Amino acid sequence: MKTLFNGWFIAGCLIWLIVQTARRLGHPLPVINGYINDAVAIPVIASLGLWFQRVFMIKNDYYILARWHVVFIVAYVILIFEILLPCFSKTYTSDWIDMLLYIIGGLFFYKVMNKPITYKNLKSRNIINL
Amino acid sequence: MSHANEIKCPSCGKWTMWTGRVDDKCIDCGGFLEPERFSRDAEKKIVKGRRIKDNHYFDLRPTDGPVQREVKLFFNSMLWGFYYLEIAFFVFMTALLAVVGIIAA
Repeated sequence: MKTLFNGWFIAGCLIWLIVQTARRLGHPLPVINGYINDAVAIPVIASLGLWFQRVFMIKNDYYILARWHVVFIVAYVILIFEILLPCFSKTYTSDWIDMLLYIIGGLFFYKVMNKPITYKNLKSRNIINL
Repeated sequence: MSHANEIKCPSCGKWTMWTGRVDDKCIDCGGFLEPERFSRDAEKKIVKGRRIKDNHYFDLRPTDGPVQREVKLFFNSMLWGFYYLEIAFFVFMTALLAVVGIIAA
C-alpha cells in the first residue's frame, strides 16, 4: 500500500476527482478541463500497475517498472483512448495534444515516481516517523 | 577477489561503497544501489523458480511420434516465451484501462 501513498499519485487522483465532479455539476473547469486529466492519467495508471506488481507478483517494495513497461502503458493508452475508442464512440475524440500529455506523463512517472520504497523515501514523504 | 568502488546512491545522493553485486545497499540510507538491476533480477528469479516447478506445458512421452514431439516442443518453447509476470501485468493494465474507460465515458 506504501506505493499508493505517493504524494504525486494522491494529487493525481484528487485532480481527476475535482475535474470529474466539476463536469458532472455542469461547471467544467476553464482551459484545463480537457487536458489536466490526460496529464495525470499515466502517472496514476502506472502507479497502480507498479503497486500490482509489487504486492501480488514480485512481493518486494524495491521493485520498479522497467522502461519498456512505461512505454507499453503510454502506447496502450494512446492506442485505446486516442485511436480505437474515437473510431467506435462519439464520447471520445482524438487529439494530438492528449497524446503529447500522455508521453510527458510517462516521462514524469519514470523519472520522478518510479523509485524503490526506502526508509529515507518514506521519511521524506512523512509516511513513517522515527 | 572483490573490488570496491564508491558511487553515488540513487536514493539519498550520498557517496557509498559499491562492489558490483546486485544486492549492494547504501551504507547511509539502506536503499539498493541499482534498483533497476535488482528489479529485473527479482523477476528472473521468480520466472526461473516457476520453470523448475513445472517444466513443460505438454509432457513429452516416449510413445510420441516425431511430428507430435516437434509440435509439443514448439508449443512449450513458445508458451515459455510469454513470461507469466508480463502476462499478469498486461491483464491488469487491460482491466484497469477498461475501468478507466467506463468511468471517463
